[in-house]
Amino acid sequence: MYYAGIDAGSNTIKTVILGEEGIASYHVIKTGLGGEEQAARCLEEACAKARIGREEIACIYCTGYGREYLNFPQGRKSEIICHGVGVHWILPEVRTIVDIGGQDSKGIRLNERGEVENFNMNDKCAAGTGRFLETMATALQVPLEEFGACALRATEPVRVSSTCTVFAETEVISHIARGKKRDEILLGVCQSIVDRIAAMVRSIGVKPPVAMTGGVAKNPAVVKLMGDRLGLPLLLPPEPQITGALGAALMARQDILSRQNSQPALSG
Amino acid sequence: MTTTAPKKKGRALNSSYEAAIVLKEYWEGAARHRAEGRPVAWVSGNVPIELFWALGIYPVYPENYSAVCASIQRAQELCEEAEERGYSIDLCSYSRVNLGIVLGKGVDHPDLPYGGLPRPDMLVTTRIPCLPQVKWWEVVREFFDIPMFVVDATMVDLPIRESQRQHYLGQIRELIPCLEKKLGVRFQEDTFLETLKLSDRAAEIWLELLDLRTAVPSPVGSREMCGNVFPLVAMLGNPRTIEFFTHLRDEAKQCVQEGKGALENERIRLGWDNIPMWYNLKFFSDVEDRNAIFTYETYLRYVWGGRMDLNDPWTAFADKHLDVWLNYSINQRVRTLLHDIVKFKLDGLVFHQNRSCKRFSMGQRDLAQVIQENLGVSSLFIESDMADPRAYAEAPTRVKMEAFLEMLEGKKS
Repeated sequence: MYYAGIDAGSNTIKTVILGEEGIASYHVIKTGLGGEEQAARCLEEACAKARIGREEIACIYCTGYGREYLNFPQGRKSEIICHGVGVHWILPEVRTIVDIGGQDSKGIRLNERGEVENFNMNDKCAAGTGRFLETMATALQVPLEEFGACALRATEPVRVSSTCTVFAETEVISHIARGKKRDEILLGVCQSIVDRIAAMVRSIGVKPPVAMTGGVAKNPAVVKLMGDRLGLPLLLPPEPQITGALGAALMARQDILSRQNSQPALSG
Repeated sequence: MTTTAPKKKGRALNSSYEAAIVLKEYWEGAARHRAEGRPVAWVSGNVPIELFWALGIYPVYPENYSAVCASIQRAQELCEEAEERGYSIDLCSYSRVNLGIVLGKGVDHPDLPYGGLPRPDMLVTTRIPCLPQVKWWEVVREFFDIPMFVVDATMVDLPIRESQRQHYLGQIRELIPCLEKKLGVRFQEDTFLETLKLSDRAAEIWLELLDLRTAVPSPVGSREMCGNVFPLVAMLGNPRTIEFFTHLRDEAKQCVQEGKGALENERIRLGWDNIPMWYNLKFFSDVEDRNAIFTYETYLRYVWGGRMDLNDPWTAFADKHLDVWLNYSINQRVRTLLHDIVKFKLDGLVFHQNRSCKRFSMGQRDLAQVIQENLGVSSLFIESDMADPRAYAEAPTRVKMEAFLEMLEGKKS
């Protein structure tokens, strides 16, 4: 039996297909204009990778900002709960998650059962999120995938002081004009993300071990700087972008199993 | 899977519909008082309101007027009027709405709710709830060229000390002759004591009503109660307040006796800290789809209408005004909240980090931490504003609230 979790985020849609043996496949696509069609496409792609037909999926759960607009899932859960469930399944020892997604960042604290004990997230500003990083990558003409590695080559960050994505872009452009080294500016951008969200993460009462998830966890400079700021090494799931979708798939599985009067199976 | 229970339509208490009538009566009464040439004072939160009713001075609350404007989605345009004139968006939104009216449209512009604000003869404020109020009033004072009186108070850590009490009463003894002289009224202690009795009776009934909300299921949620509180702010000493609160209390009492709650299937009980988002009171009722109810608010319990021992009326009068949430030390807030969370059987607290009200918002993290450590009760923080809707972000706030409810549901199951 298969289960699917879809994380319809602001920037990307992620789908995870869960089989009896674990993750059967996953797929990530740009949200674009979003909506049902794009989410359905992401699901179809994930099914194709798993070499299954959509009809073989027993239950679909959805999370992320787009979850309210999708008609086909049988269940909807907030991304905070889903990230908790997903991370706990991969890294059961983790007690705190720093999740930085397309336009939000979250601190989530878990108990030993993977249940959310406390959380916080940014309210209304895209500084300190993946969108901020994307804007800066465009301004500095660096592929997003290389952003972190380039930043880590710098020894000293250039200070990017603005808390506003738009103004920070202007600030970065002025640094370029003044001849500052690109890698130092990149490191400064990563530093500003950490500056922006570290206090928010700390406000939940950080308990080790800490894992980082979300698309920004693919940036090794942000991961390193965040670890330095929290004074702890950060654990990374093998694919940090899909933990929300994985959590949704696990909850879909739990839904079916509990309907069959079976024990919940959120771990291992 | 998200479960949606059928939601009860309309108000939980029919008497809540009376709130709009009482509010209208108050503002129409203010206009009439002005038209008849009788004195009007603009006052702010926690001024000794009974004095004004006893002296025949109509106490007009621009803060309430700002809240009214917010509730009918008129606050933003008025804030912008003030901002156009150089008042920063970082200032209190109540003050921006009011300054937008005073300096922009004018207080008697026909386009304004209830035909506008009656022009003041005098301004009276107090440092108890906040300091920006004093600066706001200074702008208004200069505009109208009228007298202004500021009542000071020290922060209290209960019980109130005699020196704190005397500091406050000393200023009340100065305020009375000042009002007599500036507004041509005469203070009569008998009338004042009678007003105190009416005030205390209204407070007594209000507190009984709030205590009925300790019942499981709760008879009434925050959306309604925030709409009902106004007479406790501005009409203490007015018999109409007693009448209205009695209707509410009796109806709630009957609901509790019959085991009838505001929700068909109450599962989660929540508390709220800070001034509500007046433009978005729906926030409170939206959680009801998930069988959750807000049944406690620090704002409704400790900001207005404390009790008085009228055997010693002046002491009681002073203590009542000093013994309010916004004048409490953090330690006093902690003690109060720990007690009330147990009393109201709350599963979680929602702290509104109100951009406008620094006094209310400071120390909230400390409160949340102590509550978590001592009672294991979780808190959620939402950033917004009491009157300026631009400070509210719908999508992320909904995500946070849903996750919080899911978390509390998980804890209960």
